[in-house]
Amino acid sequence: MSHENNSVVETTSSTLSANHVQLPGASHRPSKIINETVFNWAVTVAVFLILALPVGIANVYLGYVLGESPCTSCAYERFGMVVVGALGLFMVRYGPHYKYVAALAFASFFFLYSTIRHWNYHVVDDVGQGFASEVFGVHTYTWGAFVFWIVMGAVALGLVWIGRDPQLREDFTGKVRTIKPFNLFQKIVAGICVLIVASNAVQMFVLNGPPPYAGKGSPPRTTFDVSQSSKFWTASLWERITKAPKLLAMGGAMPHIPIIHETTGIDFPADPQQAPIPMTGAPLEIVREIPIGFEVVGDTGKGTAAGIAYDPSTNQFGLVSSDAGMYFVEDDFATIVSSGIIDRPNGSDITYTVDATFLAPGNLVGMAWNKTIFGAKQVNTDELDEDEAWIAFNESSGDLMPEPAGRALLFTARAKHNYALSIAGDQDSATAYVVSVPNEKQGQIVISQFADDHKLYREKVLTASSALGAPDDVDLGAFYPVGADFHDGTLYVLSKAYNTLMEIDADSLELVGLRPLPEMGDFHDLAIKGQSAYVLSRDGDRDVIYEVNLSE
Amino acid sequence: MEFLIYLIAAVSIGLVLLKPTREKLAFRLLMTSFLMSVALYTIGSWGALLSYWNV
Repeated sequence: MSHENNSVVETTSSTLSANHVQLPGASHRPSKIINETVFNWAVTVAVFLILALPVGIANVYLGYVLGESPCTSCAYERFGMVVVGALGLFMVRYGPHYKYVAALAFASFFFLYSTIRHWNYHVVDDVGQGFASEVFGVHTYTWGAFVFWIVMGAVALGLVWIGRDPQLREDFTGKVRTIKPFNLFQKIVAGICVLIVASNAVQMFVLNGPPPYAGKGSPPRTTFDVSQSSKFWTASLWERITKAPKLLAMGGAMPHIPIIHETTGIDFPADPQQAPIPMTGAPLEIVREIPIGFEVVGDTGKGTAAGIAYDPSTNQFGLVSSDAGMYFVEDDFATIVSSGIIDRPNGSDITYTVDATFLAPGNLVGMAWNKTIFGAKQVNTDELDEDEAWIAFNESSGDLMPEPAGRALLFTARAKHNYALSIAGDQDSATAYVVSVPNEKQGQIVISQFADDHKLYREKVLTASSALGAPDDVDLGAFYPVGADFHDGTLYVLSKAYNTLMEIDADSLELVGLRPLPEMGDFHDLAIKGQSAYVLSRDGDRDVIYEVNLSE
Repeated sequence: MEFLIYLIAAVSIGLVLLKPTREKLAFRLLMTSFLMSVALYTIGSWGALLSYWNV
C-alpha cells in the first residue's frame, strides 16, 4: 500500500471557477489508528461479529439445535445482516469504494425500516411476550433494529476514517482499483461467512422450499425431513400483488362525526323496520325542541356541540365541544354554571371530541374519537390549584380542576381497530362503558367497561338477548353507535343506522330492546334524565337538543 | 425465494474469497440478491407497508 506523507491539496486552482475560493488543503499526518491496515482489521472483526453472532446463532443454534424457524420478516432481517457483512468483505478485499459504502448505507436504511416494522408488531405486548426465542434476553427482531442502527453509525464513522487516509480515499473514489490479499484472519472470516450464508440457504430450502415458494409468518419447526416440511411450503406471497398496497394495517375507516367527518362512504339505512332485529317498542316521540343558548366552542373559539351528559348528583347537564370545550349548564341549556377550554394541543391527542359523561358528581368527562378521555371537576375555592388548572385549561370559570389529572387512554382488548363515539359513566360503580363503532377491520360492536383507574374492567362483543328471538348469526355490527348514556342498569345507545335507540342490559351486555327514533337530523349523543332522553343533534347548521319521552 | 436469495449471496461471498478477480460479477450478484430481498419484503408487507400500529 502507499501513503502520501505530504499534505494533500484537495482542489487545484486550475480547477476552480472564478467565484470559488480555495481553502487551505487538509494536512494529514500518518496515523497509527486511522490507516488502511487498522480499517481493514476493524471491518473484518465487524463482519465476523455480525455474521457469526446474530446470523450464525440464529441459523445454527436456534435453527438446527433448537429447531426454531425464522418467520418471513426474520429471514429478511437476517439477510440484511448478510448483505452488510458481505459488503464489509468487499471493502476489505477491494478497498472501501463508494459504491460499497452507498450500498451499505442503503441496506442499513432499508433493513432498519424492516426491523422496526417487525418490532412494532410486538411493541404493545406485555413484558416478556414476543415472537420466538430471546437471544441474550432480547428477541431477534429487536436485535435487528439495534444492529442496523449501529451499522448506520458505523457508516458515518467509516466515512470519516476514509476521508482521513490517502489510500482509503483513493479506494473510495475508485481512482485505483486493486485486489488486496487476505491475511489468514481475513480468509478464516470470509470462509466462515460463506459457510454460514450457504447454511442459511439450506435452512431456507428445507423450510420454505425452492422458488416460487416463499416464507410464512408462523413457520413450523426446522427439520431436514423435506417430506414433512414440504407439506407447508406456500407461494401465497404472490397473491398479495393482486391487492392494492396499504400503508397501515391498523384501524378501520374514520367514523361519522358531524361537521368533522361526514364522508364515510356508508349509506346509513334510515328505516328501523329494516333492522336485523325487529323493534321491541313503539316509536319514540319528540316532546320538545330545545335550542342551545350559546356557542359550544372549544380551543381557539372553534367547534360545535359534540357530547351531552346529565349529572343526577348535581342536577346539571354537561356539554362538550368537538374542540375540547367543557360546559356545565342548567337544564335550560343557556345558563352556564362553569366552563373550561382544555389546552388541547398539549398532551395526548384529543383532536376530535365526540362524547361526554359524568364519571363522578361534578366531574364532566369528554372522550375523543380515539378513546382518550379528559375532564373537569367543579371544586370549591380552597380545592383549586391555580397552577395545575392553568396547565390544563386555556380558559376557565375559575372553579374547575382537571380530572382525570392529565388525560387517560382507554385501552381495549377487542376494539383496538375501532374508533368509538360513545362513553357512558355509571357513578354508582365508578365505571365507564365505551361502545365501539364497527368497521371493515372489526365489524362487531364491542362494549368495554373501565374501572375508576381507567383500566379495562371487562369487555364483551355485543350479542342479542335470547328474548329478542333473533337468529344466532344476527349481525349486530349493522348498527352504528354514535352516542350513549347509562341509566338504571341500562345502557342506552343511539344507532345512526336504522334510526334506533338500542337498550343494552349493563350486567349481561346483551341487547334487550330496540326503539324507533323520530326524525332528528344528524343525532349523535344523548343524556337520560328521569324518563326523558335529551338527544343532541346537528340539524342543518345548528346544534339542537330534542327531548324524547322514554316512558311511552 | 429466500433460498435463492441466500444462495446468490453465498456465491457472491465465495467469489470474493476464491475468485477475487470477478469483483464485478460478485458485486452484481450481491446487489441482485439485495434488491430481490427488498422487492420480496415489500410484497410481503403489501398490506401494511409502514408500522402496523397507528401511533
